[in-house]
Amino acid sequence: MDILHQLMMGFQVAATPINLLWALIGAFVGTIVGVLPGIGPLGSMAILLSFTLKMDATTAMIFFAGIYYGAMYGGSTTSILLNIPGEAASVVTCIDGYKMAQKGRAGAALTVSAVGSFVAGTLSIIGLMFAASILADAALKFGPPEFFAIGAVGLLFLVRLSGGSLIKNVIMLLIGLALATVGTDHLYGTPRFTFGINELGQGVEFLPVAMGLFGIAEVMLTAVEKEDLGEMIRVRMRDLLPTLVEWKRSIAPIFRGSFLGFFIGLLPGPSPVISTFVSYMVEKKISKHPEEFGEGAIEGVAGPESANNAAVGGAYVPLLALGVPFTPAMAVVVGALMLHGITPGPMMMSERPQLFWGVIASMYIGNVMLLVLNLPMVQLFALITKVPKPILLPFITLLCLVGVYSVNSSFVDLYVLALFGILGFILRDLGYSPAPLVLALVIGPMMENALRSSLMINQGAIAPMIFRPIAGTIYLAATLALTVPPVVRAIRGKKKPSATV
Amino acid sequence: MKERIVSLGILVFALVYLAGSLSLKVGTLAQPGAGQFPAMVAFFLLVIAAFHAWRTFRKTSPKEEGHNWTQLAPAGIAAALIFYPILLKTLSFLVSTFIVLYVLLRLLRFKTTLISFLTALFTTLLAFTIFTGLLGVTLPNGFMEGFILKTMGLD
Repeated sequence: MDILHQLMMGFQVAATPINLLWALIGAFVGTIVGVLPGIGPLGSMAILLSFTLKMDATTAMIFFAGIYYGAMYGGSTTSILLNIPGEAASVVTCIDGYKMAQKGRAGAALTVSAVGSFVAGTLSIIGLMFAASILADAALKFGPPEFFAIGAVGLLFLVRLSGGSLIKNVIMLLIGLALATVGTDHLYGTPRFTFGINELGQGVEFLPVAMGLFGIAEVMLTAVEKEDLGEMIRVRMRDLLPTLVEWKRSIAPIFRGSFLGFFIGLLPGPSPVISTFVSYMVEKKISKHPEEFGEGAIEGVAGPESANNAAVGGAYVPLLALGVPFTPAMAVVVGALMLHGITPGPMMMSERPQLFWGVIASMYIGNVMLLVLNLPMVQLFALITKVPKPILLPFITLLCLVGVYSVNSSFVDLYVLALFGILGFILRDLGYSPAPLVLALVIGPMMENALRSSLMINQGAIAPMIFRPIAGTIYLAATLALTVPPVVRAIRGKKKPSATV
Repeated sequence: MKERIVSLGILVFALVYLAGSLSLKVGTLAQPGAGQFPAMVAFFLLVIAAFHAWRTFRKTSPKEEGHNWTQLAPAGIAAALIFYPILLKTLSFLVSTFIVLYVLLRLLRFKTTLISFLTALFTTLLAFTIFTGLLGVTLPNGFMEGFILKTMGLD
């Protein structure tokens, strides 16, 4: 009952004209970002951080939630119509979505994808509402050892689940932690790695690093890639309605995708991307017609598209309840909150209920907006992919440069942007993922503080830090989650050859 | 080759960072100093970076990975990023932004010289209006910026 009361209050906050306007702008911008290949929700959120400077913190959060959800909606459009995923979470949709489009069912695929995204988004918000409330209450019992455990385990999962080379992910994570130690030590006031530069006393700013690694590096990588846009499949309004059979086949995958997506969203790492692959595999495995997958099965669109939207809701849980971002996009949200002088954490729900519930209520509204916005304007959004690179890339570069400068009016921030832009291009080109670095930069100071406080409380003893009920459970759960699957795979792998013999 | 250079670069960074960490007060476990956490991170980074570099160099015939970094477009963008703060400091916002934008448009071969010129001019003015007028950001001002702000009634 209390949650419902709070949610009503949240709707009052979210339904003010200014918040509605920014939710709509966020949804619109997010859809465009989702449609444009290369520029993901993370890069765009980082680029647009400076636009939130004059906003109220709640409005800024509503704007960012709109971008994140919008990107998930928009990503499917180009996957279905052009066979080009607008962002990583829509790669799976290309497989069956484009095949459906080739068979003249693009409209049905787009509608199922939009409706699935809407249902999943709504269900995940309900999940977020309850999970965040419960977790935030529990987190009030957390001490420094628990927060260190969450940070350490979160980063461990991140390097494991980020994909690509494990060793490269670990290196990026450690570089991120190293960067997090730059600045004045808050306990002793000792300057660390500041090289006499006053601006570095506050630490390496998150915004220029994130913009460099995700915005500028993306621009440079896109500049060297060949432009290869295929022929776009046109959709008429009357083709948007799926048949009764298509609806029937989509309902269960939408609900399964929502459920899977929300829980995968709770994990650190690129959860929206992982959720789409898991959902696709599950749908294929339980389907009565697995042979249709890859040839235009509507379940292959409905499940993954629902899953990636639900994962967004899940990703908000650790941030809103614990103040710990588990995905790079959530790290940008933390950056935005910090720009407004707010440190997210378990107390946010009780100290700033208007912000917490306003953002949640805006997600409901944003989902309705996206559904209304996306279907009638699908052709228009798809046309955005035709914006030529020579005009798009300089504009993004300009936004990054002016955006970074505008936050602190600092020339040092511009040099940091340049450094991480160039480094980001080189490292990403060689397969180093920037996500662990960015997350470690955000979580690093919290981890260091928690570790030092824990050690001081326990007079240097490490065992009492680990063998506490909550911290111990976190470490045990993480150890099991990271070790059991490889062991099971190894056992199965050993059994298989002997069975064939 | 690129993979080797980068792995060596990371190794050097780890060494320098470790030396820097140890120059700070490390303290004890019961009384951690300012350098303790950095030293722990540096130690792990050094071990992993050394292993990574060893693995990279062990490959007998490494294939050239990734894109060509010396292509005109990324090199030009990198140069624009480095020079923008210098230009911004000396030439104020409008002139420096116009120059960088125009160079980028030409570098990426956007239509003709005239269209690039006009696009850069219009975009610079639009960016100035949005950031100063709508978002209230203070950008480095010169004569032209002062004139525009006066016209907009914002000085």
